[in-house]
Amino acid sequence: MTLWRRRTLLQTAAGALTGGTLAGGTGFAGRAAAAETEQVAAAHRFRIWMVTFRGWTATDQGFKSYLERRRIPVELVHRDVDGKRERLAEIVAEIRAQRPDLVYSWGTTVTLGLLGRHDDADRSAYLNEVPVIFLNVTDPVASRIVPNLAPTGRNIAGSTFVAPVSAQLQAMRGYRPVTRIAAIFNPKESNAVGMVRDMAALAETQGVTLVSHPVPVEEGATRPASASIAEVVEGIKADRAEFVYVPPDSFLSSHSDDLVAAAIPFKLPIFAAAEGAFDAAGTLMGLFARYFNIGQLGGYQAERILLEGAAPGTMAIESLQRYSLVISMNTARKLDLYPPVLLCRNAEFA
Amino acid sequence: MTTPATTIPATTQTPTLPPAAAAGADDLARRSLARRSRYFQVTFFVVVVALLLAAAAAAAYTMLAPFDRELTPALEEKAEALGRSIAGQLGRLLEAGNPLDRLEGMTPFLADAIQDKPDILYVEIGIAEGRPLYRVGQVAEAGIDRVRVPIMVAGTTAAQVELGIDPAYLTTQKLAVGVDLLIVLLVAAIAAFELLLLAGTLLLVRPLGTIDAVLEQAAQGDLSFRLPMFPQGGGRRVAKAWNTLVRSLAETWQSLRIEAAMVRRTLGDDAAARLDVRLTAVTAAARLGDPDQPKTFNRLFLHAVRAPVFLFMLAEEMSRSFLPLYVRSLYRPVEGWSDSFVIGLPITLFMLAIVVTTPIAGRLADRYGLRRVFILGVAPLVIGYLGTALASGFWDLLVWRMFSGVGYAALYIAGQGYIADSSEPGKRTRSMALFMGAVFAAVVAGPALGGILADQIGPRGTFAVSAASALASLMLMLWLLADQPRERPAEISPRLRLRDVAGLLANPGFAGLTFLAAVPGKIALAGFLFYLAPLYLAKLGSSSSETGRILMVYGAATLLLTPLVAQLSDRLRMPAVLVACGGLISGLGMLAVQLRADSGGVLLAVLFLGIGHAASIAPQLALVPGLCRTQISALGTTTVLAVYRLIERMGSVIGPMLAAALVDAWGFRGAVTGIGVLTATSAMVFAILVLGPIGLNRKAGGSP
Repeated sequence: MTLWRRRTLLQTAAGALTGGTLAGGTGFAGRAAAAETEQVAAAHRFRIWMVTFRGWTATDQGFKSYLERRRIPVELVHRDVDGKRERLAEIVAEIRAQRPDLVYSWGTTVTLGLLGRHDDADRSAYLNEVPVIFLNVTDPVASRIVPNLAPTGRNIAGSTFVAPVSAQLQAMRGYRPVTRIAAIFNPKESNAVGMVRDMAALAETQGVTLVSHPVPVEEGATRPASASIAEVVEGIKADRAEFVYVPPDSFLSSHSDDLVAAAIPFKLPIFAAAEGAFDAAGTLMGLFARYFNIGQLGGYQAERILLEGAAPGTMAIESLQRYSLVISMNTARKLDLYPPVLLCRNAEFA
Repeated sequence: MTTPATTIPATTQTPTLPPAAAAGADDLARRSLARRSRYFQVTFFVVVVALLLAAAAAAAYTMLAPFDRELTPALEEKAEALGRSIAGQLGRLLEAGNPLDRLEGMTPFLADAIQDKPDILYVEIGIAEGRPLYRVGQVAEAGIDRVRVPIMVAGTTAAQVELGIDPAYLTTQKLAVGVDLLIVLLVAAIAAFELLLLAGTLLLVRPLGTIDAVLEQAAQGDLSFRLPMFPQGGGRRVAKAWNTLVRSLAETWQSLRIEAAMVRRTLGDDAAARLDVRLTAVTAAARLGDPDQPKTFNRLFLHAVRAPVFLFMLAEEMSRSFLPLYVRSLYRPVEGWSDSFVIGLPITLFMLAIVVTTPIAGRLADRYGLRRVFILGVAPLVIGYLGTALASGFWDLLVWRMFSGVGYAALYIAGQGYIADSSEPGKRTRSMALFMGAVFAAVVAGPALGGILADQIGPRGTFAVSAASALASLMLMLWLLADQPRERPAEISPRLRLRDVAGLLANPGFAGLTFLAAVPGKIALAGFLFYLAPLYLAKLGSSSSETGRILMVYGAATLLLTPLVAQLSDRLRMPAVLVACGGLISGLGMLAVQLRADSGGVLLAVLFLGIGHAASIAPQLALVPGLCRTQISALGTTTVLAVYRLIERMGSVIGPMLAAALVDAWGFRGAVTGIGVLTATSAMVFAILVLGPIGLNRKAGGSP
């Protein structure tokens, strides 16, 4: 049973990775499922609270679409904090009062706000009884959400979504010879910092220098100002790096337009390690799991917990097996830097 | 003396020619006749086989034409599919906005696309009537078949892919098919030759030979032999006429004796004495048979055993090119076991079955007769092949191969025994050559034929053909070896005692010969030719037919060179030198795999192994008597040779195991080299011993 479901999921994921037909397919399945769902009495629905950081994303859509396709009767309650982590405390209180069947936690910041660190002594401010699945968390171990990727034993399951740094570096080197990489990131985001650190360590073993360019954060502020991105990019230009590396970073994801607007005049090739940071108008390439597929994986985990009664604590932190290599031919033309044909065999064009 | 002897019934004169002079002239005439008849036989077979080959080659040539017609479009279709794949990938890029003249990394991309495609000479991308923008491969020449595929972007042709098909590839493929056909023809010719020999034996050689022998007896004065009933057309009328003559002679003689007794009673002593003198003269001139007890002249005929031996040997040799691969396909890895070792097990156990069965089969033959051992031996052989064809896995395959080994040993021993029994004393070497002729014919034809069959109908089907071949061998035996009693049984199975074996091994000459020449020879044969070569060639990408063709070279080299070496050996009278040289040639030859990493290296190694074995194997046997005079006088030649054979065969048993260990350590090339070095080193040590302490080439004989 489980195996069969998993295969269905993987097929869906594979379909999403290889073709652009996803929207049509989902639309049809979605409509059919919606009609079905309406027939089920509200009392018999599973209640899922979806907590997101910066609005409804493709991940959330992937999650929702999976549940619909599998005709799982759910009532989805969406809470978005609009990038403000301070709002999470009241959501925790709300969830405790409502006691839903499952909580969907989007991203590192939200998950830390809902669950805290695994080694926090005082857990009173966090969810402990309600099952939680986390998605879009770059590195749950480095962010200390879990001690390792083994089953947690707690009421938590989840998935990681970033391609291994070795695969990322290999993709960059497949595009053009690389000796120097400039990394831009929000120093306040632990996931971004951790990934840049990993990339720097790996790059060094391959004779590649990584130069860090954290976007400055003013005293007392919780995050950088978008206006300072342009200054950082100007600083990067002097590095003569072959690639500008953008890790999974919520700040840069929401300001990708600022980043590419600053980078294009200097003809800087940008590599994105998360779909949110990829902007076809100016990002050259990216290697990441599609948000939609991450949502589908979350949906599969939710199904196991809701329908099969699997305890979240017995489930390993999973990851997708396939990542999308995306190249923007539009950007390549602007930079006059076209991709090697061999690399394009496995690439999607954006 | 022929004329007087045949005229005995008409007159009762005493012979007039002096016996000695007559015999001399007669002998000379007979010898020249024999030479002429052999010359005729050889010419006859050469002409027949040449005609057969020519006719078949002509047929094959006409068959190649349609092959040509079909292969060319097939190649074009393949190239077009490749072109479409390239066009599709590039079209996607162009559609995404990559300009045609700015495609990056095209050289590795195109090189990757035509890699491992020997039929594609070059690939180029360009616009219809212009210089190509990107190009990989050789320069286009006239006479090249070109295939063009458009690169479509948004429904219009943006560029085109052009692929050049190598005309030489077509030739190579045609050549490969042609060689396959030629080998089939060669095999057919060998089979036809064996059939002709069989028909000739039954219709010509046996009747003429028997008539010749009976007339020879008559010439010596013995008129008591009758001729057997030959097949229709094969001298049956002569036999009838002769038998009538012999019977009437015998009856006439009998009535004459009765008449004489009557006369003696009625006439006086003087007349009786004169009559007795006359009668005694007749008795002195000719021995006439007893009409009530007819004696039919019957003799075992060597050639009768040739066809069955050829067929059962062919059955085994057919699997040479693919057996290890078949084993590997059935084998599921077992933890803690080396794969190479396990894949060699079927060969090793087959050889072990031969070692164990050989003495038993010999003893059975001594007790129950060769024909029964022959016929009983076919059963395990056929069961073994059928089982191998239907094997469900590795472990039952092992059992089936051992069945085949038991049958193989029984048949081989029975065949040898038959030759020993039916050959006249002093002509045994020539008779054995006849037996070996059938064996070599199978060694040449088998691997190549089996390789082609395996490519066409698979290994299982080929083993089924082997089973059929073994059954056909049985049919022929039942027909040909019928009612031929073992009149003069030769001892083929001496009892081996451990003490004798130990005594022989204490003889340094014998030990040196077996361990430095015989055993390494068998290790090379079973380890390299039977085990390593098929696996290594498969790894190099050879098909079963190609492997079969290469392995066939071993048989061809031994077949062609063995008679030459025999002459050389007779002239040189230094068999030990030949043994050492043969070992060196085969050992150093195997190092050819270091010079060439392709199948050509293996081919050279196989060729040199064939040359080396042709040079050394017969001289090895020839050395034994000289080396072991003391032991031979005590135990007899047969026992000493049996011990020699037994130890030699252990080389076949350990060969595949040793090769497997070497493969695990050094890979295929290293393993072949290792066996080559082992063989060459043994030969060198043997050579040193020959020149030094043992002095084998002085034919001094061994002193323990």
